[in-house]
Amino acid sequence: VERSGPKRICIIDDDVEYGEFLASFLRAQGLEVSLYQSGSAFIADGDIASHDFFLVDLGLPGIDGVDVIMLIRAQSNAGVIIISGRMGPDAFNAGLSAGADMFLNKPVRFDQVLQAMRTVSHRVSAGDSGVTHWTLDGASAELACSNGRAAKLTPLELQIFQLLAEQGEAGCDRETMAARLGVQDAGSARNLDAAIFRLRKKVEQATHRAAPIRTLHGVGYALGANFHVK
Amino acid sequence: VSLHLPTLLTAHVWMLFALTVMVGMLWRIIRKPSLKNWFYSDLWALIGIVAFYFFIDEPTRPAMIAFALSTWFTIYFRVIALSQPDFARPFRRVALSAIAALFALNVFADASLANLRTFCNSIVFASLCACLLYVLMRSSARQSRFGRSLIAASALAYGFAAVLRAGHALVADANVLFAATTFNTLTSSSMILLGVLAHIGFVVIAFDELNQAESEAAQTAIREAERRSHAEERERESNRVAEEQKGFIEVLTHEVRQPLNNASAALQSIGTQLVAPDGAAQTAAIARAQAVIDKVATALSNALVAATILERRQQFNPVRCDHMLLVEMVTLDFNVAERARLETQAQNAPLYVTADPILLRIALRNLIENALRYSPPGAPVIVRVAENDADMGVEFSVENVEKNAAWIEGVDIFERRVRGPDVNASGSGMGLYITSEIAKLHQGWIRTRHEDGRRIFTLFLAD
Repeated sequence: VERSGPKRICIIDDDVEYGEFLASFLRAQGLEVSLYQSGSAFIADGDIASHDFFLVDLGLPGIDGVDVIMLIRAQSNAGVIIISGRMGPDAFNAGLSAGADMFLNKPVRFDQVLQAMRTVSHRVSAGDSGVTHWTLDGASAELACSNGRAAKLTPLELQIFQLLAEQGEAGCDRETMAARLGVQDAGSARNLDAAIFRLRKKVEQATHRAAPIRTLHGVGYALGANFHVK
Repeated sequence: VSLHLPTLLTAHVWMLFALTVMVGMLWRIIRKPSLKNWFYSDLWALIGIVAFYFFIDEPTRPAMIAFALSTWFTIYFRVIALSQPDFARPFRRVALSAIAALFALNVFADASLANLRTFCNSIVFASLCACLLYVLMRSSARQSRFGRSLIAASALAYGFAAVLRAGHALVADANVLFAATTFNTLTSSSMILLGVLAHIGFVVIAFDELNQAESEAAQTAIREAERRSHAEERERESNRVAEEQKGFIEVLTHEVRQPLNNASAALQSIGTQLVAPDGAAQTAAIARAQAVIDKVATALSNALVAATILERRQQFNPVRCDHMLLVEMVTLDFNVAERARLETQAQNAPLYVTADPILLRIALRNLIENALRYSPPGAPVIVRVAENDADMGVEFSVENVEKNAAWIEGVDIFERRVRGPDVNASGSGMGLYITSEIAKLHQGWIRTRHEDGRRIFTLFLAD
């Protein structure tokens, strides 16, 4: 981790052996490390503000890892990485939407933890940690990201976001979208897919965050979470 | 004209008897189109007999028209009945033989006619009808609906025309001899009797056939139900076993992965502490031990993915992920010596793709591991990431120098348990199969090609 990176690391993992090995590895890298074996132990004597990076397991006894992350996020912008053996969408999505910056699936090597910490702390230092928020400004045709970056939109791209915002959580099927946006191509929605593909790339290159458009497989598209219209 | 009345009456009684039996069974008969039409034909035949009775009494034009029309309808419904595909073959043969016999009798009866025109008409009519019916008999079951309709229509058209012509000739010549010789003799009574007997035979056969079909259907239904219940039971059983096996695999992988993770952590920890020159030998030994543990962990991850996520598609969780970071993390899955052989080539801008990061990590790790295993020791392995704008997605390619040039062409290496050319190399043959399944899950593909002694695997994920 760089000189300017985090110095005081907090590991919350009920797997004592792994936690201790990881802690000693990080200490060998010149970092200060506190280790907690449960969420409640961390809450009882850990001071959130005194740490600048958190490595959290999900399946913790007592207070669950997801709740611990929410608690951390409520008070701190420090980097949070989940290190968990759990697979599947539930663990992954719950962890990230609670505000974690990254999800690492065990087995994971120390090098990988270090690399992940490096990437996340880059984001943190750029003021880009935790949950990303998006704001669509129709007047200036701009999509602003909470990390301070923004993407300029063409009229069609603006229309795409406005249409998806109108549809809300459920999203919009491709046929309706293609018809409403007037990008139909002999009855197929390939033009629409191409437009979304380009739009995602544009937003991601401009804001360095994953574009807030979800693909509903075989159906259509929907907006991601934390999307606001000005 | 004097008719042989007792015979005619007996015939009518028989006919009525047959009719009663048929009406009684109407509810069953109308369930089969062929029988229903045959029954209509009977009704018209009855009308025809009455009309003919009047016609013989006095050969007037209305009587002739009534007789001609009823004859036409009789033939019409007979042909329709015969042309139905549900008409059983033995049954059709009996019915057709009866009709053919009637026609033949008619011809012999007509042979005694003095009027040559009527005689010729009858002969032509009878023989052509017999021919058409023969064609029907031979082909109706196999003919298309259109073919059957065409044959039936031509038979009808001809039958109608012939009856009209014969009737017209009879009226014009007022040839009373026709009636006298045909119906006032034993021939006429035997003809009617034969018709009635044929009818009874028909009804009996129809009844038999219906019964048989019904009991067969009932038997089949019972057998089908039994078979289905057996199959369901078997399926339940195999589902239960599969669920149990999946459970075992999950427990196994979880129980084993955790200590492996810790063992690996311990080895890494020792490895970082042994930096002194005299520790070099131990470091190498530890690195080897760790490589073994890593291989076991990879194999377990693959097994877990195969057993759970790929089988239960709902576990699939595609999200927008930075795949450059992913590639970086995957390269860190390998030990230092292996990592030194990896060269990543990609554009510097952030690249995101909609994918399941856990699955994509496993897919890429499998490809890289495959490349490391099948290339000469120390040879570089190039990992490329590129956008594919034409297909709207991202391509990951892994390229290595081939250790063994004798690549087995035509072998689908993406199949389960099929391995590359080097039979001495370790591996379960699971990796490429899992990778290709992961590609399919992402609506992508995986391909491999050979170029100047190098092997290139390309994994495409649609975005």
